[in-house]
Amino acid sequence: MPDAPETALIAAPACRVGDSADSRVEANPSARTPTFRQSRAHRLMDRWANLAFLACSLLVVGLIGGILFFLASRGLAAFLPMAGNTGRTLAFSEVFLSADWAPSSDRFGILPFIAGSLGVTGLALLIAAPTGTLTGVFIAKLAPAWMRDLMRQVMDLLVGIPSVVYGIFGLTVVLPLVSRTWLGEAPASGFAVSAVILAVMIVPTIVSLSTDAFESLPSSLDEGAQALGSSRWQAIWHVLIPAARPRLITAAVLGLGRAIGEAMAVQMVIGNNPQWIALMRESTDRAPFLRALFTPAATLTTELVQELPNTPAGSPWNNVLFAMGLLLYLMTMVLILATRRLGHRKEA
Amino acid sequence: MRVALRPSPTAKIVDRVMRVVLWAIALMFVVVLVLFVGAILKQGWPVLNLGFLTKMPETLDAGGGIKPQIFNSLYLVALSLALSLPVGLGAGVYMAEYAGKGRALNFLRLCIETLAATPSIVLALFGMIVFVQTLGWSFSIRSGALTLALLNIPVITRVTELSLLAVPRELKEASYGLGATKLQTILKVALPYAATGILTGLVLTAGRAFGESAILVFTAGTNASAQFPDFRLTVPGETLSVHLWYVTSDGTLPDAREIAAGTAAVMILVLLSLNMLVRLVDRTIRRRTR
Amino acid sequence: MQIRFLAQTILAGLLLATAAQAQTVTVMGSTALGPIVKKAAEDFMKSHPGVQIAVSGGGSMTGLNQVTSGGCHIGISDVFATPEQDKAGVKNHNIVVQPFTLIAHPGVGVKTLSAQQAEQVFTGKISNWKEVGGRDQKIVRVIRPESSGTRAVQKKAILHDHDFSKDVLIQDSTGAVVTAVATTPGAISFVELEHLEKNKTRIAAVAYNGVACSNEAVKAGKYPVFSFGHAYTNPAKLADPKVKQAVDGFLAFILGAEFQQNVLKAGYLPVDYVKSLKTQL
Repeated sequence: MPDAPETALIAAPACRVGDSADSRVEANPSARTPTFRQSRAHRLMDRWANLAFLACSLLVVGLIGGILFFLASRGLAAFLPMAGNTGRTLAFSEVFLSADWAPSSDRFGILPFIAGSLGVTGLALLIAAPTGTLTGVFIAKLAPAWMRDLMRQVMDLLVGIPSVVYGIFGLTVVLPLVSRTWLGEAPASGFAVSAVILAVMIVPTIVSLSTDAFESLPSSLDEGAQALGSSRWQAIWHVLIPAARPRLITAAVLGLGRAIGEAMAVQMVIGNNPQWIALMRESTDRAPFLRALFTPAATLTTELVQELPNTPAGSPWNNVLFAMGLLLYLMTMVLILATRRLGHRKEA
Repeated sequence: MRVALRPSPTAKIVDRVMRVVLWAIALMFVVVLVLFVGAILKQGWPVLNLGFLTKMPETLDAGGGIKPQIFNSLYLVALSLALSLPVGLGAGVYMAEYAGKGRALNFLRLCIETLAATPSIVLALFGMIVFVQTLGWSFSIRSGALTLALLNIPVITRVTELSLLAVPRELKEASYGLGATKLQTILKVALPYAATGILTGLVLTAGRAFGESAILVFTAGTNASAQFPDFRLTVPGETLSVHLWYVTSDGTLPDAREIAAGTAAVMILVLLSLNMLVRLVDRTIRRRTR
Repeated sequence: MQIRFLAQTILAGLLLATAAQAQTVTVMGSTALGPIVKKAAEDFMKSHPGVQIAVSGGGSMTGLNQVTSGGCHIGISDVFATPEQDKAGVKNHNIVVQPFTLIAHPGVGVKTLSAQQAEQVFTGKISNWKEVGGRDQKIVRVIRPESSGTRAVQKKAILHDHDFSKDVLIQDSTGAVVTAVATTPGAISFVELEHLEKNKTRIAAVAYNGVACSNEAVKAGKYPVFSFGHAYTNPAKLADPKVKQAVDGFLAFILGAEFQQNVLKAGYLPVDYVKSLKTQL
């Protein structure tokens, strides 16, 4: 926090901030300078500006509510006989508790997409969280200055590369390569490749937040541990990482949030098969987990990108897609609230 | 604390090994980036020439360019920044200077964080319902710019707030001491001081908006106007990133792969130069403050 | 200073927004039909300088939804309107004929499939190329998403309304399908004929019942797998007579003899070619 040290300036009573300003000016007119004339007009402007800034903030609050309202107005139409529902009214259970997605045959189970989203983001986090945290500690505590600078640029670039470019790279380079090298030319679309690409996309978020976390630790912690005779790595492992844990978890949660909402890149490489759960169930494969990694699957975002433009407005199909969007939004809110809780625990 | 007084031989070995591992992980990301950027530029390089950048796209034949997409990208980014900058600045100023430290600030920050974390596909749905359908604006520059602004607002707010909080308190106190109002202090002392930080944030925001595709597919459409330059806000405005997605996925053009490779290379080059710009700004600040 | 600059930028934007606009016809919908309609729009605007035609994509159903609600003037689609939309009064115009063909990865070693084999390949009864006379290789079925018009045609014409196998790879669009087939050994898919012609070096054609898909085969009635490209209008929402005139003129232009010859270049067939045939999808 940029709390400035107490200085002589602050100590001077004439320099108090806030509503005492008016009286101060009257009491000390010599403080006026050509640049800062405080007339009535200026005070009025001051008040209006206050309102304008407040309005901007309220707009942001309004946006959060607005998004919720409009998504709900379409998403809930799937379950309620309200305006915007021109078809059958669905039950919650047949949407959220069913893995059978065949909308043109009137079956709307979205479990495959929920499971797909969780699966691919979970995998991505499994790769990105450890490597990202370790890179963070490396940048903050071990790397020489030039390497620190280089890593910062690398992360800036990785986060800036558009997701379509990641997707195209995955589709035209990574998928054929993986298929040729490890799978005996079987298709490589699925969780594995998507998760790796997602991991690269979210690593910068985790790296930059965890670097901050390690840099903000008091250096006495590190020095203390080393003075007690522990090696550098022991200090990192036994002292620094536990001390930074709440912020490291926050970093991972924010990375998760970024991953779960990613659409274009994943859509190009995951294979988009909504029947993947049924397919896995029927499979007699001896290594089901390995097989699942390379089974075309689908997520909430990929299904939205693919189907939304081609479904009739007001149909249960279209409304369920909006409900999936609403679900994504609620998930984001839960994740943000979770980071909040973590933050509070840290302070406690 | 379970820490030995002197590192045991095993601890020393572990320390050595882990140092190597950390270096390896960090270098792996460098290699991933170099391979990635290298592959994209290598594929795109043969396509990149003045004709490609300055020709209109073809609908059915080979040999089209990406001129209107470049224009639309810049136009949409500029419009969305113009729309989001006042709101973002305003909200950032409010949070840093007015909100105090109570519940209100906490709640505001929660909202900003939520908006920042909202997936772009969700913003796309919102833009589609409100601008494209309810207001009947169809796929157009204005639908796209407004929805894209939603993506920028939280970033600009955050950057403004942080930059303002970094302004030394002495400066503000001095301004008040000279009899300035709060607004005068903010406009003439705090914001100019924070300007470079905000500017850096703006460049990064521009880069993010430049690469965004999910939002624009659903709000600005996948077609560019046949006129050039077309400043109208009511026409569809396909940007470079949407073009890249559309060309690869649609594939009606015989040279779709070349055009995709060229477009991707252009986007990477723009991104690289934006990053250079940020570093340049950063360096000048440091030199100035020193 | 920054704020002043900002204000100027916004003002300039608003001024541009209110600038006068020409008579504009908006067309929305199918990304597959987009290019040919765009070409028609370019030609039409050359001969009718007062009219602007803006073609945008979004998907077949987006086009139909928008034309039903009055959000655009013409909705282009490769599927028929839903019963609700028909009830709302939308009017269909068949503008082109779209032939479809089976394609496969060049290495599968199969040049033709019988109707029954093709059905069983996609329903999952046949899952190795050697069962249909090819290499010993697993069949990878690449198909389009459930909402796609192509998939609807495929389900009706090739699968005879049976369900697709669950073991499929789904790609969002024809371009992505072609890329997937070209890069995945053992892959088979179903695309518009034009995409085969444009990617002959990367993918192989598979004949259907011994007949290779071609314009001539469709015209002669030997090749039954094709569909229509539709343009929908909503007469109830075309209140402005000037717009109505432009819309009617544009549709007449597309269906005119001159442009119908042009569609051949783009891989479609003139509607006349199949007028006498009974097969309708």
